[in-house]
Amino acid sequence: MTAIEIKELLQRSSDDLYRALLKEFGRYVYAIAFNKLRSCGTNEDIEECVSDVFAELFIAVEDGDVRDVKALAGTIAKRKSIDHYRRLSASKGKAVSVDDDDFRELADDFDVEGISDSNELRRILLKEISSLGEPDSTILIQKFYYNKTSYEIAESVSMTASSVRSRCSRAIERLRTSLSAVGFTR
Amino acid sequence: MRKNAFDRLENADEKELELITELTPEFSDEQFERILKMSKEKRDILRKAKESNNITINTNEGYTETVTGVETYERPIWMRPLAAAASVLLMFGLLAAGHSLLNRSHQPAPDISSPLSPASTQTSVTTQTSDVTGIITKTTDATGTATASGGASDSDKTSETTTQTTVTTVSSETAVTETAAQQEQNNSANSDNAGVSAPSQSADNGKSEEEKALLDTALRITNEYENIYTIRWAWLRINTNDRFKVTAPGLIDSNGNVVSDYSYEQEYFRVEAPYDTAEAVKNYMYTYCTREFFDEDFSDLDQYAEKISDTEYRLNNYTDFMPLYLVKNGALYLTPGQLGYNFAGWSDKPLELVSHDESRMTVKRKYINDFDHSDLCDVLFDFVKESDGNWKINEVR
Repeated sequence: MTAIEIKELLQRSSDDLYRALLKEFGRYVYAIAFNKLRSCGTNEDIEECVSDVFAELFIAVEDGDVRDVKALAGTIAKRKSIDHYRRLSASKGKAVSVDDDDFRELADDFDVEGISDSNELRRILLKEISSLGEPDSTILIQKFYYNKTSYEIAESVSMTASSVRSRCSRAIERLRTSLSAVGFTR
Repeated sequence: MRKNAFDRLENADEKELELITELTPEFSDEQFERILKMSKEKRDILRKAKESNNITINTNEGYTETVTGVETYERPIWMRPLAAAASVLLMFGLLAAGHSLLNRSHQPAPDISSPLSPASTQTSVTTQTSDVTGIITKTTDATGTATASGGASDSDKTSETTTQTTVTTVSSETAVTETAAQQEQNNSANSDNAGVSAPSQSADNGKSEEEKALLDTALRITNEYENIYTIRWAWLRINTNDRFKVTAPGLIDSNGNVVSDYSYEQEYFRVEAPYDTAEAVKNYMYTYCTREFFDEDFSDLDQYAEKISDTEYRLNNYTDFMPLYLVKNGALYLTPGQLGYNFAGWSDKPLELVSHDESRMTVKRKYINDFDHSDLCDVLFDFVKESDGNWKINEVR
């Protein structure tokens, strides 16, 4: 979305601009928020975060001369996701006060090797999922990453729920085979 | 949240997020409008806050915020005497209320009648089992606990055992009656329950008797559904020498294009027991599923695929769904592994009643995924209550 397009939409109506921004960048922002909050937040928390991002994006676009809307949306999304993550983690008791007696005994859990392995495994997993092609890669991500039901996936990929389940079953087998071939067993 | 192998995709970098975004589903209309509404409301609040606090945004410097100005507050002069008058009024009002309550406490207490008698509850369970012919029978009671009884040679193929369990609960104030009809057919060779986890009863958690009864019904029927739809070699007698394959040469993707390099085949095996004809399997399936639901999984081979040879058929129409059962020359054939959702068994987590009314209900049940053995995957069952009073599965999603 270029600056000229933004200007035209803004002149037409604010609502048109907001809708266009949400339509253009909604999936991207949602993917960022979900990626961060998946382990600690509900779907409602994630939507809350997404709406926070777009609220700020609307203001920024209305007020500023934004050159790269996507980059701005991404930056706001990452920052907001981290804020929400910290808030949700604190409420779940994952945060420890510095005044706690046990604080000094907390080990540093920054594991360089572990993080490096995790990054590598993530790259391999994503690569093998993508190599399955469409619509299998979409079905698998929506099923096991986004936790959608077969019915919801069927609506988004224009198939029946039964077809989605069949495809999912075969795609998982293919994924399992290809991951084993590259040494990814778990 | 969920724990499975796909957890590894968390904390992705920019390039990976781009890829994940491409695989991310579009918002539904409802979700889009909901997020838009929330965003606009928050935008309005932010706008007011920024205008009153003189916050400016410079997006060319990487989105920074600067705060300038001091908010001043001036209290109107007439507020002080007004507040004093309100305080005096409040004080007198409290004194008057206290006086009134004190006067009431000196009045005699009202006559209290005897308490209501508690509701009496009677519960009776009757089980009738009629054994037409003998094979090893599994009987499942209201809680889904399986017990085995009886026994006979497994060469007897014409057996059918009917078990009916009736649970009646009556109270003096309310009457809730549940009647569940259950029919089961089992092979004798192996009473293995692999794939069916120890059935779990729904958590009570403030549910009404009606809701508990519905969940019990759903538990029994979904247990049986799993029996039908996983490959239960021990339950079905399959003749592995009598088989054929059906090939799908290509598939239509969501844009209507033929994906010619994505071909696959399914093998079908002759079913010999406990039912070997289309009519027999339908009669059994219709006790658990509506006709509309099951008939989708059932087809005549001649109408479904083109014959290439005695052991190979090719689909007439592009599709990526093959029915569970095919009838070839009047004989029944089944394809294993057609469950489609990597079912490794039911979780022992309680069922969830998503919605219900007099004739319909939707129940969510968790199953164990055989990819990473997590048990956080859901299946939704839509039930309908037919005219005979029995609940049947009408959709699985």
